[in-house]
This record gives sequence, structure tokens and C-alpha cells, in this order.
Amino acid sequence: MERPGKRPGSTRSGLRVDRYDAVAKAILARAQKEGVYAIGRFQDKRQTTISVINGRTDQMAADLSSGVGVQVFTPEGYSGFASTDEITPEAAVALVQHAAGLARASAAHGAERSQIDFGAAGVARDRILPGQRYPFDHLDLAEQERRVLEINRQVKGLDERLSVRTIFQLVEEDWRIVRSDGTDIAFRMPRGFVYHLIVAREGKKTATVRTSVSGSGLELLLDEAVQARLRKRAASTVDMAVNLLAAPRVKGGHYKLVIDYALAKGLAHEAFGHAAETDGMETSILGKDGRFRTGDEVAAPTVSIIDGPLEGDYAYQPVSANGVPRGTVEIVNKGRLKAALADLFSAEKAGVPVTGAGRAEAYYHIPIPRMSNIRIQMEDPLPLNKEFEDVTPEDLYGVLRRDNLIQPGEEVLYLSGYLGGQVNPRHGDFVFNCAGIYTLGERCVLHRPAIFSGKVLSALHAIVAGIGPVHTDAMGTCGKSGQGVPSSGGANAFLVIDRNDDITIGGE
Amino acid sequence: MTEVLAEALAEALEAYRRNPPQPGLALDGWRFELSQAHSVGAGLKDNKLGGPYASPMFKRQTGGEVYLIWADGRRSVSEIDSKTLPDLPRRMEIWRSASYTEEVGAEILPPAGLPEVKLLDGRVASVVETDHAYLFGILNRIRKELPGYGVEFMDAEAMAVQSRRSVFNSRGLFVEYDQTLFSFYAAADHTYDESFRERRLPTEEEIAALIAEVGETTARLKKPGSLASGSMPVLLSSRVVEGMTEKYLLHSLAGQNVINGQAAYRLDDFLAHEQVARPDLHLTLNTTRDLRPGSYRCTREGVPAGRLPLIKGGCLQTPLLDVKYARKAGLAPTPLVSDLSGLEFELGEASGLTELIEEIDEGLIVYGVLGLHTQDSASGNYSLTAGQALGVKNGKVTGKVKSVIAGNILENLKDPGTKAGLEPRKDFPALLVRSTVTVE
Repeated sequence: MERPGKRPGSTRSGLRVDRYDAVAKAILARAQKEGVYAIGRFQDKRQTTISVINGRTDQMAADLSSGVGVQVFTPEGYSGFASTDEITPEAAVALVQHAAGLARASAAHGAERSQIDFGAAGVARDRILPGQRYPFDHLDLAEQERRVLEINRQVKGLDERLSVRTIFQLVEEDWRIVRSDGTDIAFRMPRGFVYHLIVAREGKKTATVRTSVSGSGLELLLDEAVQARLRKRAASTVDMAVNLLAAPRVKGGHYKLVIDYALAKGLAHEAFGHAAETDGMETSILGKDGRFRTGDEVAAPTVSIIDGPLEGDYAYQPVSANGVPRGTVEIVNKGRLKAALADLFSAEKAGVPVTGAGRAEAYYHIPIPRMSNIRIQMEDPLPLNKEFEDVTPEDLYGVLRRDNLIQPGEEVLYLSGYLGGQVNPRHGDFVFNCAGIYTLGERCVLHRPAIFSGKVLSALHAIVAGIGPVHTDAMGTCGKSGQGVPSSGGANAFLVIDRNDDITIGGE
Repeated sequence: MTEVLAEALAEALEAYRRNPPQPGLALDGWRFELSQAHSVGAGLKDNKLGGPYASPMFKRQTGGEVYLIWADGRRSVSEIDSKTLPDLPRRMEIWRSASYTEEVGAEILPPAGLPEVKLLDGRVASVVETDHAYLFGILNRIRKELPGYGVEFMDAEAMAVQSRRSVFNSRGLFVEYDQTLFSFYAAADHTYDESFRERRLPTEEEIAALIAEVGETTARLKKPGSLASGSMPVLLSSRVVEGMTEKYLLHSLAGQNVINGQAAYRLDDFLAHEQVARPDLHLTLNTTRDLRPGSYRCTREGVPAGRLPLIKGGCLQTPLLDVKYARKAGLAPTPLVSDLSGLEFELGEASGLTELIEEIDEGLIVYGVLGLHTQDSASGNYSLTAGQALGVKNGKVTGKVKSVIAGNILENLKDPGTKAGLEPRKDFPALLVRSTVTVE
């Protein structure tokens, strides 16, 4: 049943973290007494998860979690960190003492001194609540469960060879950052997804595929347009799973490629975004002597890469975990490096402005520069006359022929469906995987997935065309330094990547 | 503190079973696992000890899981923490609203005899409580010794954890014990890393050996080599085999995946003890070894720790079953894997690594792969970038080769040509398999 919004534990601002005034004061007072600069981070999260397998509820959970972390900096530049799930003034005082004690102890063992210009980002005092069509409690859990069961049964019914797991998750995460300079800023990050893990089986053969929709909350279950999109995605993913059962392997080597926007998000994220994060600039391929290579040409003049929070997006975060409002950053502008993803701790060293890029998975983690929503935007993209979900491999072949992007007899592979990736920013190596590979032609042939790997800069230089409008809703979880934070992004519906000896498809 | 919290939570839940404040919140049974942990850690990033991204840290954390069976048979499961008890009336209402029906759900187990397993090292507890200098000592040793191998950039972390674990239920299970964990890793030039993870402190020899292994392997991986693409013998290092075991074998041994048709193996395959690997392959779960990180006294549901063959003589024995999926399978619940060190992997008579390498006419040694998490677990297929690998020609290492390897690990485990090699201080053997290699 739908019902009006109700927010238990919320305050006048609507943010639950505003309950912690006394604890915030205790942190700052104790820091002053210890003679250290403090950053206090409160996190208050509620989450519901519904997991359905083959038409039956496997598990439902409603979880609450909260805690506080304190990072301190001594006047000499040594730092320490402490955290707890107890949010009381007494616990907070103990945290500051622990963190300050560790910072001083590290000094005796040869720790690094960092002089951080906390004034670089200014003092922020704000409360940020993004607009949401439906509040967290708009739909009771029984109705959410009913809808997820229905979604799952629809997919399961598409083919008798399927096993389908559907997960719906809804998260409302409130953060508050207080600093010794008077910063006191709080914000909400709402998000959700519906995700299908589909296994097709015939005899001993299996093929596993995934598809999803993501956003800020209950619109995923309530809006017909979103539901229709998920149904289309599920139907084409099921087709792929069943056809993969008998699909051959592709021959390993170097090819001209077409990738969909979810894979392009993987390319932007793995191949490029991580290398633009300032905490690794000393060893990144986009750095020289620890400084970001601003102005260097890294791609064709038609390519721009942008990162920044989008309201309503799965990875929306308006403020960094250090209390700095997050900016939208044009990392690459018309093929040239323009700006890095920088936080308070390493922007100055990297020679770039602070952009509020620090993110942390939880109050017990130390923030590091991260992406939010990263997208590749091509100038003058080729037109696409269908919705993304309706485009078949044969349609793509038609577009490539129409615009002379494929020559007679040329072997072009279309990589479809992003399954995740990994990068080594120092060496500039990236990999990512897809759900399936089509050889494009009058009759397109599906092959099993194979890893797509290459060199960051070669891959960017090899992007030759974009097809269709920009899509930004490809979701994922970024696992940098063992911290999982929501990430998303995209590109034009499809990107064309020229054959390049530094880009390899693994196979037979 | 945990003891008090756990006992008080048990009393409060029991009150909902015996004397519920309102009929809708009456419980038929409950269980919970609660752990209160204190940990300290320190880090090294790009040669620098501490700093804003690797600050020395202290963490105090209470956490666990509660499982409820309501009087009407519905179930709830949720995370718990230090605030659960004072907030219990509100949480009970939330949990009730998130309850669900199951035709076959988990039951609350009666107490069973639990094995005695040593899980606490007082020296680790001392590091947590007072001796933080030990952590800095290990990091400074790494910082001092690795440059001797030509290493330019070092990253490292050391961490000690002490916790009290409580597993209580409404049928009289009350288990509480203290445990410790110590871990550290060293990484060189973003090329190669190694880690130590045990419930005890490392010996001097173990620290020295780990640093030497990181330094020497990194040096080998900096020398360029050559190799032609093709089908060839590929030596997967212990670390790669461990990752593949988790990604492919454990996925297909997990009861939930087996029963729901999302694994390579079906329940009937286990009941028929189907041959899925060579007759000399044995995979055994052992969660009772003293001071190993994969050991414990009982699962969160109260199933005793133990030693259990999962694949014996290449034949399937049992899936890994929690109480719910054991009921669904009509089998007994089993201990579960909490850390890969709880697995014993044997394949035939393992030889030394040097002998295995000498057998390779033309092939590859793979120390690390990129993209394992993106692979299709149930199929066994792999297509992975071997970013850190050495070419081998006529039994001699030529130097670093970057390539993509492709094959099927489940087929590799059936292949009579697959051989195992032992690496010092590693739980898993290295495996020499046949794979397709595309050199980049």
C-alpha cells in the first residue's frame, strides 16, 4: 500500500544526522583541548533489501546502521583516525584522544608530515536534501515485496531453462561533516536498484548474465517507464543467456570494436577516471613528478570526459566526506587534460584545485578521491533512430554501414553488457568484461564473453565515433582501496573504437 | 562489555518469546551473533608512513546479525550493533514489518558439542591494547628492506584485531570466546604484493621471507621477456589458484546456488557423488585448525566447526549448507567457509615449483590476474588479463610477458595433464594447466 512519507528519527532539517549536535560539539571541544585539527564524520544509514529467487522470497531485511569517525591533524602535520558505532559525547571524546595519540605515536616512528591547507575549500555550513519523487517509506515492505516477486516471475517465465535471482535494494544514507574551522555540512544520498542475475542451463552447460535499473529510490518499482525499461533489458538479456549456451569463443586478437554505453562507463571509470584521482598522482600515468599533466593531449578532439554528481542518480553525492561541496569536473576537454579529481589532502601537491572528490564507504573508512558519475561525451555523435533498449546488433551494423565506419569484409566486434573491470593506474593497464560479443555483419553471430584489455591512453586515442545520445545510468560499485562506493556513468549509446595493437580481446 | 550486551539482548529477546508486549510481536524463536572488536592499524603509501590516506587508526565496532522466527512462522533477519538493545522496541517493529514467509526456513538449533579451537594469541591482543609500536616496526622494516631489491614505490599496511564473539539462541546455545587476527601486506611498484593473515603474530622468518618474496618477484617482473601466442602450459601461482577456487568452486559448492540452479553442480550431482574432477583431487573444509583465520568454534547458526570433505577423489560429497538450505536439500547443515585458509586443496603428488617450471618447453607463469571478479562462475570459463606474468622457454624464465589467458578451470581440474606444485608458506598449490594465451 502506498502511504504518505514518514521519516522516523528525522529532525527539522529532515536529516537524521542533525540529532548528533552534542556529539559534534564534544569532538570539536576535545580537539581544541588536544591542540589538533579535527574532521568528524557522522553516517546514519537505513536500507531495505529484498531478494527473490525463482518466484519465491529468499530473504528480506531492514537494516539501520550509524557511527562516527574522527580524523585529526597535529600542528606538526601528523594524522590519526578513530571510529566507533557508539554515537555519544563520551565515545566521541575517547575517539579524539585515540586519534591524537596515534598521530603523535606515528611521529616517533618516522611518519610523514603533511601540511594541508584546510582553508583551500572554505568553510561550509549547509543542509542538502535532494528532491525525490517518493520518500523512503512511501511504500510498505509487503507491497515492495509483492512488486519484486512479480518482476522476478515475469523474467523467470520467459524461458523454462532459467534460474533468476532478483534483488531490490533501497538505501537512504545521511552524512554530516564537522571540522575545526567551523564547517558543519550535512547531506542525503538516496539510491536504489533492481538487479537480475540470470543463469540459463541446458544439460551441463550454463551461461550467466545480469541486468539492472538504478536510480534514487522507489521510482524503480512505481514508475511504468522504468519498469518498461527493465522488462526490455531483461528480455534481451535472457535471449543472450540462452544463445550463449551454444555460443563459440571469439578468436583472441585486435579488432575494431563497438561498445555499449555501460561498457563505455567501464572504459571511462577503469581506463581513465582512476588515473585522474590525485591521491595516486605520484605514480599515475596522468602525472609527471607528482603533478597532473594539465593540457596534455590524451584523446581525439571530439572526446570529452566529465565526472560529477547528478541528482536522482545511483551514485549521487553532493558533498565530499571532508565537507567540501562536490564539483562537476571536466577531466578531458576536447581531447586535452583539463582537471583532476582532487580532495583536500592531495590537490595542492598535484597542482590542481580541490573539487570535493573525497568519498568514504562508511564512517570507519578514511576518505580517498573517487569518481561519482563519469561519462564520455562525443562531439557530433551519429544519429540513432531507436531507443537504446531496442537496438539490435543488426541495427548497429546498419548504422556503421550508413556512416562508412565498416568496410566490406572488415571484422568488427560489438561488446554488449558490462560485467565489471579493473585497472592498474601506474602501469596504465585496464581490463573489463562484457556479457557477450557479436561479430557484426548482415547476420550477426554471438560469441561467449572475453576480457577486453589495453593501455589507457591508447584506448582513449582509439575512440573514433559516438552513436546516439548520452546515457548516464550504468551503475556499479567501485572497490578502490577495499572501500565499496556506488559508481555510475555512461557515454553516447555506443562508441566505436578503432583497431589498435594495444587493445586486446582475449579468446581462443 | 559484549558479554553484558549479549546477555542483556538475549534476555530482552527471550521476553518477547515468553511475555510479548503485544501479540503481533510474539516470538517463537531467536538467535544472534554479536562481536565487539577493537582494532589498530597503520599504513605506508607511496613510501610514506602515515599521512592523510594511511593514518594510523583505531576502531571500536560492535556488530552482528539477529534472526527471528515470529509466532506466526514469519522470519526476520537484520544487522545488529551497539545501539540495538536500547532501541529494541522500535527495532522489533521494524523487523516485524520486514518479516517474510518461507515454506522451508531455517530453524533454531539446540546446543551441540563444540570443538576446542585455539583462536586467541595474547601477543596480538597486546598490540591492540598497548604495543602499537609493533605495527610501525613492521612497516619501517618493509620501507628499509624493499629498496634493496630495486623497488621505487612501496605500499603496506599492518593491522591487529581483538574481538569477543557471542553466539546465543532461544534453545539454550550460549557460546562466547575471544579471538585475535593479525595481518600485514607489502606491495612494490604496483607490480607485486604479498600478505600475511593469521590469528597470531608472524615469526621473524615469515616477515623476512615475505619481504624477500615481494622484492625478488618484483625484480623478475621488471625484466622484459617474450612469448608467442597459442595453446600452452600455464603455471597459475598459489594466489591465482586461491582466487579461482573462490570464484568458481566455492560458488558452485554453495548450497544456495546449488538448490536454486545457479551453480555448475546440481543437488542430484552431490547425491550421486558425481565425478567432477580427477580422482586425485580432494577439497576439504577444515575450520578447526588452531590460530588459522578460517577457524571458529561454531557458525552463526550454532553448527559446530569441523573437517568436511567437499570433493573427495574428484567426486562431489556435499554442498556447503546453512540450516535453511540444509532443510531444503534434506541434508545435514555443514560448517561454512569464513576464510579461504579453511580449505585444504590437494591434487595428486605435488612437486616443487622449480621442477614444474623446468618441465615447461614454452609457457607462462602467472602471478596475478586482472578481471577475475567479472567472470561467469557457474560455467568455469575464464578470460583474464595476466598482467603480472613471466614467459618460460626451455624450462628457463625469460622475463615479463603481458597476455590474456583463456580456458575453463573446471575442465582443467579434469585434465590428467594438470599438475600441482607447492609454494612455501601458501595454503593452496600452484597449478600447471593448459590454457590459450594471447600475448599483447
